[in-house]
Amino acid sequence: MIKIKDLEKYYKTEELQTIALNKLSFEVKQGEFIAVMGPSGCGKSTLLNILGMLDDSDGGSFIFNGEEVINYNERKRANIRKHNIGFVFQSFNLIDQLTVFENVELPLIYTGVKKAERKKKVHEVLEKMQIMHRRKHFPQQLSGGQQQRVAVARAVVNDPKLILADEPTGNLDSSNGNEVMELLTELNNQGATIIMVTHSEHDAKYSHRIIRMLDGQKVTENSLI
Amino acid sequence: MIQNYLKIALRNLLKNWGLTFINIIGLATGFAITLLIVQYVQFERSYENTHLDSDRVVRLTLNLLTGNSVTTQDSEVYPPVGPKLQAEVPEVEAYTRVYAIGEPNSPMQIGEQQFLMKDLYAVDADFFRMFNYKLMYGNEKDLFKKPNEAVITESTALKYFNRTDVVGEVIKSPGSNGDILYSVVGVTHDSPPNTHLKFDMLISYPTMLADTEMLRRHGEKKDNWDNNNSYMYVQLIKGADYNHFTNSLEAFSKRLVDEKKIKSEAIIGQKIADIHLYSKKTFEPEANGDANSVFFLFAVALLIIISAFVNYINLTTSQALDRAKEVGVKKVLGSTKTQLRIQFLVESIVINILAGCVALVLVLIGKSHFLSLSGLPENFVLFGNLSFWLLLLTFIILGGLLSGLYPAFVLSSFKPSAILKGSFSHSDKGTLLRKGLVVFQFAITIILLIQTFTVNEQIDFMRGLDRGVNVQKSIVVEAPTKKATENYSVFKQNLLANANIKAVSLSHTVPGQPSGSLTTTADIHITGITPDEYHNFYLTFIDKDYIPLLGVEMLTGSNFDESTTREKRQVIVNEEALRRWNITNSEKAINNKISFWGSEWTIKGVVKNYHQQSPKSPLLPMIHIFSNTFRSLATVQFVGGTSSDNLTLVKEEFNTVYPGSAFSYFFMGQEYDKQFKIEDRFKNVFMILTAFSILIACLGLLGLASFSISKRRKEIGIRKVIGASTANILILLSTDFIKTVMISVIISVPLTYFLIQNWLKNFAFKIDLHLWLFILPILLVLVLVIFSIGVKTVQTAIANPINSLKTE
Repeated sequence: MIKIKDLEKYYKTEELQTIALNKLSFEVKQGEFIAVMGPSGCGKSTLLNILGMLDDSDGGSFIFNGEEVINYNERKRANIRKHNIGFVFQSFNLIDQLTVFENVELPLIYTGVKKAERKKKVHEVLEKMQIMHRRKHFPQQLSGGQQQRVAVARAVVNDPKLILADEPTGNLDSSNGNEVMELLTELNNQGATIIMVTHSEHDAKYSHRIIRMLDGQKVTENSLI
Repeated sequence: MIQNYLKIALRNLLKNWGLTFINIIGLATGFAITLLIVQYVQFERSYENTHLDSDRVVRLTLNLLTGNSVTTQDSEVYPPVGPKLQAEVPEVEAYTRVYAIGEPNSPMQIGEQQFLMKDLYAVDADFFRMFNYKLMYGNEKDLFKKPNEAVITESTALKYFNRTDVVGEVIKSPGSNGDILYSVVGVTHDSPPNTHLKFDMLISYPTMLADTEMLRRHGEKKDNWDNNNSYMYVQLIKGADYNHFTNSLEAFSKRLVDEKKIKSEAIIGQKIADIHLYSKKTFEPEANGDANSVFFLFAVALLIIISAFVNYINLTTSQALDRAKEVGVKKVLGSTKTQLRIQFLVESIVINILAGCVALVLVLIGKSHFLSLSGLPENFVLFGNLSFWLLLLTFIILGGLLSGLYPAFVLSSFKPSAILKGSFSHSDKGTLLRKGLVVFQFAITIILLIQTFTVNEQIDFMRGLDRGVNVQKSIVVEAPTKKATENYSVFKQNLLANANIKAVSLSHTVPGQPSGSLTTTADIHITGITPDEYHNFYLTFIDKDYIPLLGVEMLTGSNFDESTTREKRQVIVNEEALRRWNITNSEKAINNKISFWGSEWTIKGVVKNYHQQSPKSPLLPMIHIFSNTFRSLATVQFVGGTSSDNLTLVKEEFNTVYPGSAFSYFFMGQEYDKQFKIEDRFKNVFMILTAFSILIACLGLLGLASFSISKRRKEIGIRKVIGASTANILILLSTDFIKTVMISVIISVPLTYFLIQNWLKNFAFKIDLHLWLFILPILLVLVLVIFSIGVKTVQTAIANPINSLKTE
């Protein structure tokens, strides 16, 4: 599903150039659950941003579903993103002014789904995440675990082929964290490909394969299955 | 410490130079426009304040009544009103008649030098005391008790004598039937710019009644209750109760009616300090100001300065996120809230000082333009005025403190732990206030813009209206000082001999001249019918060529011809005059007799109505009397345009026939257009104000946009990650602002409709209020809104969302 080869990314300031990704290459197959680990500044988040088509790379190749997307412009990338990729963040990134229902509904609005269809889909996913009873609440009125469940609901409402999770349990206590990991595993079992950045060895154990990074390069790769 | 504050303040301002620039321009524009308007308002309100006891000086005016309702308010009264009132009402201490001579001007001669004197009045001795004019030269004792005395102003003396001490000199008013000689008995300072009654020369009132030539020219006589042609001022005794005086005046009017001195009229008092801003009577000595306009301008100035400060606050606090880190770090390092506040205050004051300097430059650049625009005198003292500097200082200090305090308190109160953890966000506090202020600013802008459109439309309408009279291609030559009548036929024949000249006509006045150039008489009626109401009828003297030359259409009857003489007492009237006499069929009016000035006159013809005055005024009931003498104006119409060759031609003929006389002329079209001066000025003031108001409102919107967008940066990032396109985001952000502006539209449109309807009441002939007069300005505002928020929204919409979602 994903094939990156010699991926490069630099951050430039006036005086110095920092290498975030240094000729990084790996492949992810459909239905895999990958954990990316490594110390702060190793390039994990940069990688996730490029995979999520939120950021450009400075060299290399990125094939998504058989399509070379490295040179796609902003509009094309956004189009692929909204139909194929769901995001889960450490800090949830829910919109404070919108209710749970409205937050989850948003991706469907942007992909042009009709209103009745939207309602049906949102209800389905909220049921699945067991947060239906909170659909009229605002994010501030929910616990951290509940907020992350809403965020996951929002990430999967469009049935994305790929879910990118950036430290999804980072802001949660262990029981809420486990709950979220169970949720991701279940989604993976239903067919979604998941790439998760994490600091937690415990969370990484939920994945099929761990890619460890240092200074923008892949150091080791070990399969857990 | 202060040095440190200043250093950091300057560095911060330089770092955010874009914002600093916007802030300074916004504030400076606000300062400059407010400073200028406040000076203007002060000037307009300062009228007559140079006269001592001006609150005791009252002008008497005349109301013409139909039943109990007022048909005309005339600023002139019958000359005997003053002496009679003083004799009968004990509160009146003194009076002066002020009789305008030779409207619009009088030929004068000093030695061989001939010229036309403007603003010449015959006044009583108490004039000098009541209006506080001291003599620079001459003896105040027994001043103006005798006929043929004159007092001239310093400027007049310098202009014609090249010196000021000219007591004892003689000024001659030449005339074909004899000269009038004035001996200069005094020189006084020039009239201040802020008085409604300005003069170049005064002559003693006894001249009006004693000099035989003067009597012949003006027909003034003792106890003249026929013509209300004199201004009248009375001074009340100290401590007199004005209301009581008003009652006395009412009783006095009733007595005058009982004594058959006046009919259906009333004498009305008016404090002189109220004349300039509140008086809208006919025959005012000069065009007056308007209290409503002055108040409106002042209100707008106030709004502009408040807006400028609010914008500054908005823009500064919208930077909060960017500066939050600085605040957090400083607090962690031990800075107290007070120190942070001082830091922000110093920045604010520095910005205000810079804005003050830029404002001075703007005032300097715009000064002369502003003076001509507002109609202030050219020598108006601006920078020498203490109040100007005090106001500027107040703006800088008070503005700096007030507009600096809010940002200082908001920014310094951020909790360092929250800021540094990154979970910091803006509070919703004050959002409503900000929005409210922007709504307010745009409401004002829309009001101004719609008004500008309407004023423009009305002026175009008046200029384009068929006036029923052709004022183009003609020049008007003012009568020479000598033997005009005798040589007139020679002058005319010589001119007509030239192929370029189409026609020449004589008249007492021409269309477009001030109404004061016409003679008015109320008591004109169809012989044998006693009128039940009185109107002012307007009389003018014309020759047989006047009506065809001006292209005025004869409806019935016939024009004056070769056989017409003054003695035949024939008149040509217009439709409006017939309407006043309730004659509906103009055919029937011919050969009817009308009575005025103690004689009977026959209606020889009826002309179609024409606009003797700008379409602002209603059509005048006109009575044209035959006169074949060149005592005031000769209109020369050319085949082609009024080229300089044609002008030279007329001048040469004039000099041949009237050697030694001053050649004075004007273009009839230009003179007519002068009537639109007030409206043109009004339009210009509105345009300027609108431009500034738009600028400041857009800055306000930019402030609000920056603020609310900075608040929504995270939300926009999330939306983009989820799949929103740039267009989605642009629409999302713009709709919010457009909604805000639409609230302004809803507030301002009804208000403007009301204001415009009110303004249009000033015009006898006016435009219909079309829908597009409202829609176009609103569309214009919307375009401006999109433009001013555009940069910021596009910037935000295309920004990479990961930047706003970073939490590390």
